[in-house]
Amino acid sequence: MDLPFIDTENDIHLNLSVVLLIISKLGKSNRGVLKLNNERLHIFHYLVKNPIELNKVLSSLGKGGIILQAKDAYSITSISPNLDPLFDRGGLKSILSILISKGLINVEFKKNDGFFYSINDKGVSISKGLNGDFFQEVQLICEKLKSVLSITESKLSQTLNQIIRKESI
Amino acid sequence: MSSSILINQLVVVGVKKDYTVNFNRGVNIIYGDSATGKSSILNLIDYLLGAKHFSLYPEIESVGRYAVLDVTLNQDRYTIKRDIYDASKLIEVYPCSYVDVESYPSKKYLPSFAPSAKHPGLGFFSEFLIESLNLNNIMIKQAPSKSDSKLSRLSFRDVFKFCYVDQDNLGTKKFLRSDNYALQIRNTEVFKYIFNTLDSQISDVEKNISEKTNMRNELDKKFKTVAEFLRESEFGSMSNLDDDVSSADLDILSIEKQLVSLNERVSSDDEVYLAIQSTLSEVTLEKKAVQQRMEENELKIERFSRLKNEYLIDISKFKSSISARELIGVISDDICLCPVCDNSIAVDVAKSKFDIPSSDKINYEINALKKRVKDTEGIINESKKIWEFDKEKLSKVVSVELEARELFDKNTKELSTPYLAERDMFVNKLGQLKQKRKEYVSRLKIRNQHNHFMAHIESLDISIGNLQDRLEKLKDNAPSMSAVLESLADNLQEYLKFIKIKDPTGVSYTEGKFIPKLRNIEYQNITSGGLRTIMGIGYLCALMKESLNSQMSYPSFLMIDTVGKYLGKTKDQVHSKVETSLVEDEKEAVSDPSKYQNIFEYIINLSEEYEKKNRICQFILVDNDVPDHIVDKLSGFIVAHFSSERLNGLPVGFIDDVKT
Repeated sequence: MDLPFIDTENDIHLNLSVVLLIISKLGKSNRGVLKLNNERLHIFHYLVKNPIELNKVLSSLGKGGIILQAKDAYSITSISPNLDPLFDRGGLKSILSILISKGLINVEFKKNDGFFYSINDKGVSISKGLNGDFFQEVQLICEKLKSVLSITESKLSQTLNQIIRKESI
Repeated sequence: MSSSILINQLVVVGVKKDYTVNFNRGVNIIYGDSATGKSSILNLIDYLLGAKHFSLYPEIESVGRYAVLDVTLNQDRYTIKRDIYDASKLIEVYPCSYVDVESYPSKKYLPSFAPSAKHPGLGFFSEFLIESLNLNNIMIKQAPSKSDSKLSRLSFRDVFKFCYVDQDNLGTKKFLRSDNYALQIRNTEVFKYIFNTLDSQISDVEKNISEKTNMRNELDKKFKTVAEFLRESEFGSMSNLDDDVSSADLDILSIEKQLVSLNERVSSDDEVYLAIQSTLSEVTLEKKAVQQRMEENELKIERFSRLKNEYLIDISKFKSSISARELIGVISDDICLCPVCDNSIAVDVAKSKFDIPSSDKINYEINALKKRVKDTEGIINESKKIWEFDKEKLSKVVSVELEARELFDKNTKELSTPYLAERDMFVNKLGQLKQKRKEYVSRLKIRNQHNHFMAHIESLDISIGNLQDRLEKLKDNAPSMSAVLESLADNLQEYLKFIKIKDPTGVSYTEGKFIPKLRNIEYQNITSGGLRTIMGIGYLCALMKESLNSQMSYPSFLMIDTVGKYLGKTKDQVHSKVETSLVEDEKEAVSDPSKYQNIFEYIINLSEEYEKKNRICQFILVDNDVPDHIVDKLSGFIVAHFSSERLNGLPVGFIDDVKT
């Protein structure tokens, strides 16, 4: 389907870059424990792309907020967020496939928790080059999300569900 | 101040009709055959003035219900009503003549001094009479010579004994000297009382005065206390209160008038009000329109701002995408091995899910977005300008509206508020006035009640004044009994001379017992019954005469039953030989009709003397058959004349319609 304009949501490089940045910042805890499985990565990916929702989740978890930029707070997305990506796992799988084929991330399988993703040296060198306005913002958000790593996926998804349900009422 | 009893009318109220005898001032004569009820008339009067009992005679018993006496005691008229069958029933007294009895309440009295358990607190009839006659209410010593003698109350009956002599007593030896010693003593004490020569008389009057003065002072104190209270509470005097009530009435009337005129004025002056009201509604409408446009513009600004931000976000994302493409490089369609399992990863399938626009296309898009940002900014600015303009306009409209509303309010205030306020004021004042009027009226009532005190005090003052007069006279004259007896003896002798009895000498009264003597023989020792009758009447007439000239406690009232007893003037008089000696009667020539006539003439002269002094007296004389030649002279004094044979159409008796 060709539309007369390009949707940034669907831009492959943008998506690859964001996921790469999330994995590079949040892949391992400070003590080197693997943290990102499919579930958590999926939630983080959504939150990073929707700073308004992120802010609500953070304050609901008692982790303080991020400083929103005026254009983020006062946008169309802010009053009607796109919920589709939350129910689409295929998009994230494709991005991960490409990142793996490019040799930018490592994958590990743990029997109880599934796949865990971490960045490798090649990935680090590339992620360091990502420093436009938008990427800087993503990195700041990721820093903030470090405080959420200790929270279980189920608790995280429960909180997000509550917020979305509240808004949809 | 002399006392007087004046009988106006005696009525026996019967089943079918009332039986009435009317009486006049001065001499009244009742005569007729025996057993026609003449004496019953006197008995009834006696009974109605408190006698213990009344012996009914058959005619009255068969038709009567109760008896009524219309009597004037001193100045005040009373009607006394008493049951004729039961003497112990209460006696009713109305303060009016018999005709007006219906319109006054009666006061009830006990007929005797015997205390009654049935009617505690009721007064005694005797005290009522003594009070009404302004006699001194005293206690009489049962043994005057002893200082610690028992005292008994003076009864009106004690005094009335000297006013009434019935046919059984007149001329008998017992008259004037009772067989009962105690009664004799009592009678002499009452005799002294009548002449105000009782030892205790002065102190009694003083006591009476002090009692009445105390009562008066108490009342006066009460009156003053109340007066002071009323004054302190600014109660307003009687006349002031009257004025207050009438002025309140006037005020009420004028305010009611003003209210009516106010109601008429309110309905005009409406046009200005309507004009202001329409202007105001126009301005308000305009204000609403401006406000709505402003709201629309605000919404526009918000929406385009959000859109602009969205564009800006997209621009930064596209820029990031371009830089990322340089870093990540071209994504090849190679099949690569999964690092975990042995499967291969189909990158091309993954790639196909996303857009991979060319850098040129992205750059073009960025430029397009930038242009759109500019456009939206233009729209936003435009909207802002309009909004600013509207804001200014709004403030203007608001101020205009404010002005109009103020004008409207002011107008409303000026037009209707004063009316309302005025109305309120009037209504308020009207209520106040009405309340005030009510208060004044109730105050007037209290004032009237208060003045009642004053009336009572005044009547007490009069009574005290009289008593003091009497005290003065008592002190000045200090009548001694011997002087009184001298004077009485003079009266008696004058009477006897007038009757023209033989040898009217040796006339005096015994000291101590006060019994008259003729030719130095005491009354009861006179053998001629006729002479005793003449003496007995003379004794009473001497009292009446004395009462005319000096201060006495005697009511100037005399009833004599059968004046001609023992006088042998009539054909068929039969008297007991025990009571009178016919030989002595013959010797005294008492049956001479001129003597009989002289008795009447003396009494008539005496009553004329009273008239001359403008004093009230009343004689009621009863006899069987007055000789014809005397009747002609006395006809003017006859109040009742009965004949048992109904001769010349005369009534058969006091009760004239009983068939026997």
